Amino acid sequence: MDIREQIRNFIASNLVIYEDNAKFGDDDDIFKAGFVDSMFALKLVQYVEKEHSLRVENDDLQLANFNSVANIAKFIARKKAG
Amino acid sequence: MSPPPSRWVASHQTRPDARLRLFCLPYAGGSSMIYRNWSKTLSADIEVCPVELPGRWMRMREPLHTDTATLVPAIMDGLLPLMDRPFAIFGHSLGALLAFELARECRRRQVRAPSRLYVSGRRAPHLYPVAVHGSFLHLDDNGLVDAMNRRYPGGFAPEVLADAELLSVVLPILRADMVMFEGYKFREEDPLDVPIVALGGANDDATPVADLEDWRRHSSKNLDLRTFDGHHFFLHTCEAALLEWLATDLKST
Repeated sequence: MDIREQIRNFIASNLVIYEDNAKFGDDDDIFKAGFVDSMFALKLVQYVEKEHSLRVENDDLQLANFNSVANIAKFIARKKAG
Repeated sequence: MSPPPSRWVASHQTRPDARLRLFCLPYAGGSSMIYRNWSKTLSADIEVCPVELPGRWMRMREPLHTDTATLVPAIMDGLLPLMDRPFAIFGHSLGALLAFELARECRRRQVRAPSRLYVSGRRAPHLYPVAVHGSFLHLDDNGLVDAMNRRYPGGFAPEVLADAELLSVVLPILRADMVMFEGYKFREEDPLDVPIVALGGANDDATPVADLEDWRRHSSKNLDLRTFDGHHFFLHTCEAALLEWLATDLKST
């Protein structure tokens, strides 16, 4: 499973509004679309840290790093490249 | 030109043509996410700006504040660039206290005053917050969760209670906020030249509707009272009715 698919699955399993037909693209803003609940932010950061063995620092906590599947994948790749 | 993005309102939907900004302050333990449905429900001429306090969500690695005397000036610094057009302030519970003190801070700094102040789920600030129920600060984690659930039913999402790791992240935020809430020191000042609307849940034992009337002394303009069905968290359980009412109220703001 590639990294985007993993992230998509994680987000899908934590959606507040989940209809069978609800689709979000890799570039859709998951926060603006109102897909997620208030705990999602914490869970997302925990997920990224645990699954990918990296540390999310204060400076990393920008919406632009976390607001879409594509951006999360890019962020993880960047952190791993160190 | 729109101001640069701020960590204080990181996740909001900007609306360059809005006639009014609505700054929304969270309750104890809450983040900007508690207001996530507001922007798409309120009309397009309102820019909803949920305020992100240090220590939560995108600011989760920043130190938590425990004193309104330091937090409120910091909020003011963060929001000042967004006070270039008319604004109202909304706060629930601890957020109502912060909203009130923020309105006072505007006066101290002689900047634009809020057009309206919405204080929700909070007794008037000159009334001691824990007189009726006693302090929570000495409680251990289980005791704190139990006490919160009794006084403010529905505050914890069931998934948080079921997840020790999530709870271990949430509780320090809640504790710091409770230190701030219980340690708040009211100082006598002239009433604000701002209309105040006090909102409450009809069955909120922590915030009796009768105590909302006490906000009156804090406005030289007008106090409106509005109650909704529900307990302390009517903000969530009665969200649709609240937003419908607020949309109408903001039209005259």
